[in-house]
Amino acid sequence: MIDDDPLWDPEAAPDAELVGLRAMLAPYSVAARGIARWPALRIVRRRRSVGRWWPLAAAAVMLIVSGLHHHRLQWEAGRSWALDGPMRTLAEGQRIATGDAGTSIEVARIGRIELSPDSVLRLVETRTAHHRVDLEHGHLRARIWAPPGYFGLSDRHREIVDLGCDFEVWKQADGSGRAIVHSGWIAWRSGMDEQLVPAGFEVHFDGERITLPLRMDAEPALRQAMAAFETQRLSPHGDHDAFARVADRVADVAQDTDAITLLSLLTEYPELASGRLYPRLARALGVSVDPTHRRAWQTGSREAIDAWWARLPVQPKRWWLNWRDAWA
Amino acid sequence: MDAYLQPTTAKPVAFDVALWTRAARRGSQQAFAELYTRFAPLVHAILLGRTRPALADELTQECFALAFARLDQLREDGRFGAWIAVIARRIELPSREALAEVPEEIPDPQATPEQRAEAARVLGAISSLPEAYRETLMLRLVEGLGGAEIAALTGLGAGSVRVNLHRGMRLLRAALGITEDAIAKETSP
Repeated sequence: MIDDDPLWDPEAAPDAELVGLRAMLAPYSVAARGIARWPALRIVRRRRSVGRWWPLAAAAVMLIVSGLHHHRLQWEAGRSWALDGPMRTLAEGQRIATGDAGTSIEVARIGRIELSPDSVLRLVETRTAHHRVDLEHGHLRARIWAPPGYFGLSDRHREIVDLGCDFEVWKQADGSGRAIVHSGWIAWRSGMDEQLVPAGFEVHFDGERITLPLRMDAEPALRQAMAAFETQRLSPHGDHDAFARVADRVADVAQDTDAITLLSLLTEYPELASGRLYPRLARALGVSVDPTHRRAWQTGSREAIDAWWARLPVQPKRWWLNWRDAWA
Repeated sequence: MDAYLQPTTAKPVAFDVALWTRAARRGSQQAFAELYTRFAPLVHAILLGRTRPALADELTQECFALAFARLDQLREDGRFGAWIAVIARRIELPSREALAEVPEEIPDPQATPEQRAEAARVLGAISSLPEAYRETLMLRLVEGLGGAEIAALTGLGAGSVRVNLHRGMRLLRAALGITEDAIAKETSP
């Protein structure tokens, strides 16, 4: 099916501006430059030297000696989970549907899920360091004691990954829902999109998008401003000035405790640093407005953005994707 | 130039990233080739937004060589695309001085000097945009991918890609000093 938006669908009715730009820039593509095929370079895998691994081996021995922690994190691939109620166990690929009463599920040995009444959950995959469930609809509360990324909720569209915490998720059958974090952090991931949500914050999501994190006890004025911002954000044909105006309104009503919301917003839309959000966030973080830093932020400089994330009093457990130690 | 306008290398959505990544871990040359063919436009688009075209070409292959050599550091096989995108965003570029010694190359010998200068100006304007718009527009305007292909390649939702494309185009027009009036004049019969 052909979409009538030529920017989206190259097969749509041609647009003179796009055709011109495409013709001008096509010589820079991988196909035009002759690098579309893998040149079969020899891949040299890095060898782990005995010397480098000796301290880790020693640490592993210490863990084995201390015993329980190591054992707790291990889980045979595909092994069933224990649960309260008549089913007793939940196997990989199996669903559990609660009726009038909820149930409690052991997440391997690393935590527990409380599944509310009228909920359906499927165990997608379970093995050491990787346990995934799909909450098809309903509500759950998960308390996990494991390194970041061990546990998560995943479906076709997204993953909500535990970064060592206690959180709740409500989900409708149409894929929309809400998540709140009681302690630690969660990361919401969809493709290359990642949103970090700390304790005390909530997010709403649909089949595709997630809102920016908002304090659970946010003032009504900020809730209203963020709702207006989210509406503009989802509108591909929205007016840029209107987008900047609703962002400024967020800055006007935000408090210092809303720094995460402002930081998340400016991280996703760095061009909005030209408006009132940047000085408001600077005030919330207790830093002065530096024109050089601001200009760098506006162009999306990771260094500039990371420098202010690093000022948060509580840091997320370092996650591998959009965080500064993702690639060193 | 028309030959470049054919759809490029993105493969259908059914491409199983985890499967090919697992095969690459075992050293399969076919898996290296499949992953490269699939993700080279993404890596190249990211690098083109960071540096000059000749260097972007070279670094594209270097990013893959690095990634394949360090596959043991990738925690989830299905996320190879997101992982190599991070590598492309963070790979160290040569210093300004070293770059100055690399001669300028002519990407399209058939183009006039004015056309080449205009292409460089547009490429520079896209490179000045924030990352989300820059990368999406590079994939659309340079690599020639459609929105659905960009969504499949980046793992972003279709709505996000559409928003990035439209908002990015508005910012690009502003950066190039193109007004809405000029577009209306250009496109009117």
